[in-house]
Amino acid sequence: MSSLRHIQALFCESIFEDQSGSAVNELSRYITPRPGLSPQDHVKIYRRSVLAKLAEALSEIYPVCLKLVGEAFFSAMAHTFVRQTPSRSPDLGEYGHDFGDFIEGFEPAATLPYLPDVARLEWAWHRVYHAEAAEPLDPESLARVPADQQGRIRFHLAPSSRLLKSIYPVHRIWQVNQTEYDGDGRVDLDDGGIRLLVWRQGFDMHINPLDEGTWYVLKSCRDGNDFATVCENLEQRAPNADISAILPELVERGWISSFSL
Amino acid sequence: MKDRKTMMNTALAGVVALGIGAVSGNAIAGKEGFEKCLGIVKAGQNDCGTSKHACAGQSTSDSGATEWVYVPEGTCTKIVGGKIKGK
Amino acid sequence: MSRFTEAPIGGAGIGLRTKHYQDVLSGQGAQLQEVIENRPPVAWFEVLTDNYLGTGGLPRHHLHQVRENYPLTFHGVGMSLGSTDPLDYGYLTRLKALIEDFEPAWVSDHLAWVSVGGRYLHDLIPFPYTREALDLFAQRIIEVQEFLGRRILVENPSTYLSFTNCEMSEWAFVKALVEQADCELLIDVNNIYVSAVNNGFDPLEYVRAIPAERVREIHLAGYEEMGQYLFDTHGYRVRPPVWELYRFVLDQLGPTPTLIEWDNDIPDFSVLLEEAAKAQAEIDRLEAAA
Repeated sequence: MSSLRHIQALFCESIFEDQSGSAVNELSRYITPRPGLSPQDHVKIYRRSVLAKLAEALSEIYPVCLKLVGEAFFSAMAHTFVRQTPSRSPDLGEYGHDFGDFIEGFEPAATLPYLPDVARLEWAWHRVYHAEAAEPLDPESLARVPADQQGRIRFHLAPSSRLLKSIYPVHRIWQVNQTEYDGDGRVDLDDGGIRLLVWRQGFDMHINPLDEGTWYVLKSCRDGNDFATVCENLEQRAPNADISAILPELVERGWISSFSL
Repeated sequence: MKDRKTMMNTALAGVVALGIGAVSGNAIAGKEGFEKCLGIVKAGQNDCGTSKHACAGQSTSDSGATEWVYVPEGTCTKIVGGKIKGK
Repeated sequence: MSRFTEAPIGGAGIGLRTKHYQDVLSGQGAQLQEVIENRPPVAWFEVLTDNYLGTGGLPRHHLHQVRENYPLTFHGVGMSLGSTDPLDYGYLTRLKALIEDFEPAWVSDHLAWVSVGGRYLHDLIPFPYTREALDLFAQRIIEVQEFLGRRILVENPSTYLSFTNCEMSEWAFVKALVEQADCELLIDVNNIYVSAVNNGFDPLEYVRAIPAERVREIHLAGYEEMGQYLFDTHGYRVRPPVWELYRFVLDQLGPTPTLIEWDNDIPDFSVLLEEAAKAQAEIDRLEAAA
């Protein structure tokens, strides 16, 4: 290994390693001490800065979670996450997609069982904000699909949309924790679960609760099923729902934005 | 099976009947949802390599403490109920 | 007719952060559609490329509105030019598309590495100034410039350590690098000062060695006093010794486009305008004397 590669590998390990300090001690051989600062102190400046940057990115992506648990708790939780989760993208906005999963297994947050789903909702919001806008589907183009091919149509959700489901009313929790919300911040978890679509229409961001039928149609489409299978799923899951009412509405809203055969 | 074919056909006919230009969607946008309108600006996460101060949560790991001393003290106190719920 | 303003880059600009959008686009937080009615008098903006890597979404929409009225330069940290990893062509491809969309006057990154083993640290990490590093760094710049079809600017970072196995000073490294890689320079005066204090060298010696004909841009920002060292938080007004060093740099280089950067505790936009006006006054003074 080149000496430069070796130093870089050691540096990276020094940032994320535990208290044993074996990487930073080896790295120290390459660092000039200064009055009042040991080589380890020099590395610590970088270590703290890197970890704080990752944690700060999380606080910007997950502002509702931050508000729910407070600054100190969030910061400590985020720090635990960043120590075990390196960033794999040059874009820090792509960091922390699995923060919700992490919170789910994070013992100190166990008293807030809805927190993982709030985080997942915030991640959905974040990615929809950054997602590409889609051209709307041209309804007439569907008329050109031969009748015997109709069951094979695959409908695609708009790229600037995300489906999300929770056994908690996370949309209400999200709403009352927005900075501009000035009502009573009380939410009753016994209000029950919710199925949501986070989506963008032009430059407006939306969170829409979905009825059962709409949810199963969108979910089945998202999972890559063809139209016949989507209808079959719907019959099983929501026998009272009517595909002939749901599908035109999904297209009209732009939630389904394209199809393929 | 025939039944489903008819259903699909009706559904697709419903879409075609919307006609071109129906998908502007303004009329029905977010009628029962929550929205944030024009002007919302999310922070960008990538700054230009500027250095950061340690965040509050770093102090425990720096000192080698493993004990978790933090308790949630944000707006979660306003969230009630859900005692019998679980996954 | 171009879809963008064709004004050239000159004088004092400001580093655009998302927090500023409302000031830049619409004044008092009014809707973005009322854009640019009372847009602030800024010579140009520099944007952080890594915030716009997505192919769509609102960030690019906002930036388009800015670009219609202001010249832009691009500044990023993601190239990781000093890394021993292979170049990230996924990143460079996204960057290239962004350049085509927004037509920045130039593109810059840093004399540092930010990733190794596929892990990104998102912070500018220094490396020992050796022949090995010089060859690697130059080769990577050459490849990047070839891919982007243009020269890039490389900026000196603030450093908080120096390596025992250096074979040359940072300024000797920089001088050799621009020759070997045929790249250009972005000189951060604040970073020279911070690194000089932290690592015990003479900032004037650094400045005297700068190859003036390669410098396209200067950066200014406010450091923080940490007791044992200076910390480059970009969270303050430009400090007096940095203004002093800036005057020395300008005397050396001649009038050079200068950017004010502020990233932590971002103040009211008027404060940034004041800082930019100070830099502009220095440039004007130099031009008047010429």
